[in-house]
Amino acid sequence: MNLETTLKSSLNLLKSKGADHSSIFCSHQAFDELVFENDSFTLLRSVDEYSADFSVIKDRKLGSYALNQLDEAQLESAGLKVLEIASSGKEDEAYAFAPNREHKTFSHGPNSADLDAMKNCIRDFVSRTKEEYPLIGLRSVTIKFNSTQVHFGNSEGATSEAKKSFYMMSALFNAREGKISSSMNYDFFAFTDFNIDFLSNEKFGKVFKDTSLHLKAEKLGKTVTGDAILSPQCLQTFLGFVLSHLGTSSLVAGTSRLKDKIGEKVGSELLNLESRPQDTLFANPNFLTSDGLETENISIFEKGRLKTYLVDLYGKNKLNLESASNFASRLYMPAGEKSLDEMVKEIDCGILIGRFSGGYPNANGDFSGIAKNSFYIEKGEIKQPLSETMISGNLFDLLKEIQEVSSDVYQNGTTHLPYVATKNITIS
Amino acid sequence: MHYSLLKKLLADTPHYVELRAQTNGQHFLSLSDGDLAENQESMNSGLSCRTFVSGGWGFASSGLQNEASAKALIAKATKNAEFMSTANGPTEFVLPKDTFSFERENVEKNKMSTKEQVEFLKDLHTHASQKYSDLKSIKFMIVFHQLEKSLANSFGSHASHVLPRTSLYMTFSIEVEGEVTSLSRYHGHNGRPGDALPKKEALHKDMEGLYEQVKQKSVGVHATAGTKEVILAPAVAGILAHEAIGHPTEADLVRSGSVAANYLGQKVGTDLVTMVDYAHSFEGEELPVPVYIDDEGVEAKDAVLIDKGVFKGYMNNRELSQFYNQAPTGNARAYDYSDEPLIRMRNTIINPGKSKLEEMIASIDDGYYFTQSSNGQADLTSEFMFGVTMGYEIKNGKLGRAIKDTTISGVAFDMLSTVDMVSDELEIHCTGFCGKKQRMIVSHGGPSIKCRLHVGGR
Repeated sequence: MNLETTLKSSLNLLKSKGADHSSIFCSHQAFDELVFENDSFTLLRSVDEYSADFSVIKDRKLGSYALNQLDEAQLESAGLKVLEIASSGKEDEAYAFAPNREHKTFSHGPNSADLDAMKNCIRDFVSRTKEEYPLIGLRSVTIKFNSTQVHFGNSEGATSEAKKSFYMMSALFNAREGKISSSMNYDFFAFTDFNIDFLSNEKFGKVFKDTSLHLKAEKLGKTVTGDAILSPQCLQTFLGFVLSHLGTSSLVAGTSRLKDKIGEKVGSELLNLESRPQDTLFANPNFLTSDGLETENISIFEKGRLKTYLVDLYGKNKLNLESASNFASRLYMPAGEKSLDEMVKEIDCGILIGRFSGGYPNANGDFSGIAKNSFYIEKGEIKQPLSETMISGNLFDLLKEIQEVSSDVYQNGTTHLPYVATKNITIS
Repeated sequence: MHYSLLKKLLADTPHYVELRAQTNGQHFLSLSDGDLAENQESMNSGLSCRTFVSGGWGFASSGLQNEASAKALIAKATKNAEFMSTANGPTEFVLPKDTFSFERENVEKNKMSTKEQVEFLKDLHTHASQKYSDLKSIKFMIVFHQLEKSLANSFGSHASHVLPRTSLYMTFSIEVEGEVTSLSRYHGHNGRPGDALPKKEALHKDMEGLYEQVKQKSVGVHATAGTKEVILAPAVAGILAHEAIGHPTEADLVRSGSVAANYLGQKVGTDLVTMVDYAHSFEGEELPVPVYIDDEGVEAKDAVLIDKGVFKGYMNNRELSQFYNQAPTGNARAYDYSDEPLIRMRNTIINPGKSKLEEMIASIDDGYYFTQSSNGQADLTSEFMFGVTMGYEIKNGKLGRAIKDTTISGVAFDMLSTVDMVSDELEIHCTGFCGKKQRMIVSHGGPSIKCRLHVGGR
């Protein structure tokens, strides 16, 4: 199937059906997924699929329709359907698609899956884990080769072509000794080259050591309010909550706590965060936004000041902003000065939070949930691994109270984040 | 593709082969403060093949649904299975050969167009905005999903069925002294919108309750952290059943080290606790997720997990029923055509007891009554966590002030031993998705249960 031809004929189709503006992504996705569970390879799954996402604006009303059957009859039917959907929509002058620009082609990653390399990588990882971390039980290890090719075009004349592929390795594991088990933990890494030591400290090494210690996890048995060191994985979860307050939906609805705060100080001096969607640091880059804009590297927080919202074209028009944010994640927080060990030494009473398992914070940023894979810190030392421990606090207060950012950094091919020390978490 | 064509293609296969043709449709409509904020529809269809060769599983799928594609997928899946067999070394494991066949059409009695659905939401908005003028924000959503499947396997099973589900979400937000408080209610039923949406009059009544509760919550207090005596309303008890007991008792997760393996045949709860993953019906009534045959062509049967406090068995698939020497329960289900079948719950329910809710509240001096939860997660150790979005203090046997959002947690196999009252009501909820590699439509429910667990808070 020729995606470029399908794109052009579909744009013509939507125009002929009466769309005022149209935008189409035609894609081909394929992947090979090799799964190892418990003690053997359990599945090799190969998926191959074409798809198209149609969006139209008709009489200032928006409609969207996605399909994965791209023959002439289905495309014709989708053209009618998307206009019917638009006719039910609300009128809004703010709807828009990417403006005309020069055609651009993006390319990243290997051409095809190396199944033998995937198999050997898993075998090596499993046998070394057994040898070096005998308490760790690997429940599943998966390597997936993802390949996508996207042709984008719209009625304004904007066109792009993006080809991307990468491998994603993920592992689900816990520690086990006799009938005692730790909590489950997991991690994943995107990569394009198999020349990686997956058992280094920056990859699975540290988390395997920490998980092994959790065989002796205990309840805290008291309620305290103290400091917290957020692991990069926990920080990523909390940053996701914060960034949702910068998106079109919450800003337009007026429920964002960060509305009208551009340029204002909303965090401590140590709060620096960027989005670097096309940085070669990341094995899984993003080239286009859902509007069809080319992504850009942007600063979100600089020395605690909010630098930008993360809005799409609709949000830009609705909020009368100068430009859309061209945002597509790939979060980058620069490393700090002190090591994690030094940060621990400075805490009198607190918690090192491995992962946060909890609900979405309420509109004011109040959160509560379980601190998974976490440790209690007392008088500058890791005192005990914790089980059944709950934490609560306020998201926006945490940003203001950032005390330290670690020199240790976690880079998993999709994010680059350090450990962050903050204050005022209730631990129970 | 009709299953008869799939069956024909399986005639000469030397190994176990299953073919599944599937079409998934979804439609998402959201009305925010009277404006249609989202109107998105999609259709996804294709064909998949899974094979078992000398102990290795191979899978392949494509968006193309025709005979040539099916033949190519059989070849590709077989090649993948052979790769797996070589990687592991061949085994002598033989799959059990249970067969079953099932066909059912899902007839739409009352067709409801997109425009009519938008009007339905607008009518709800008009009612809410006129009656509750102090609300800061009013949102409604209709979310429709449908899974239409045909399947056949080389053992002789075949099936053809449709699983449609319509959900309605209502969210009210109120602002008090600069703080915004939100609360939602959900309805989810088997069927397409015209057949499954509740009547407007019932929703008006429900909105009255939602409005009262969001107001109470806006001036609510923070829960006090610690281990407490609590009552979990059916919506919360159902999530508990699904997350904290259901997942650890799925045979693939047992195989992966779930703590449930330590408890088989043992007493894990009081005599009041009976919990079942029902395949399609409860006491003669069809449940919101009726599954008569699974995606491996095995007849779906009720999986009794806990009977009067004793842990009885796992939910399984064809391979693991043999591995654990248990009767097949037919829990293998796939969400998309490109997904492989995994062990998934259907309708996971704690059976009702005999107590009255009022008696249960009266029996607590200092505790909480949790009526609604936002989400939940559980570990294979059965440690669980749920967000609570609505609840009340119980003081001296009476309901007290509403509380703000909090979180509850515990270890399910410990907590079940603290259950000392179970109400005589039964509510079943069917909104959202279960996530376990793929998403899946499930339902869960139960009565109100009284127990002890850990409450987050300040």
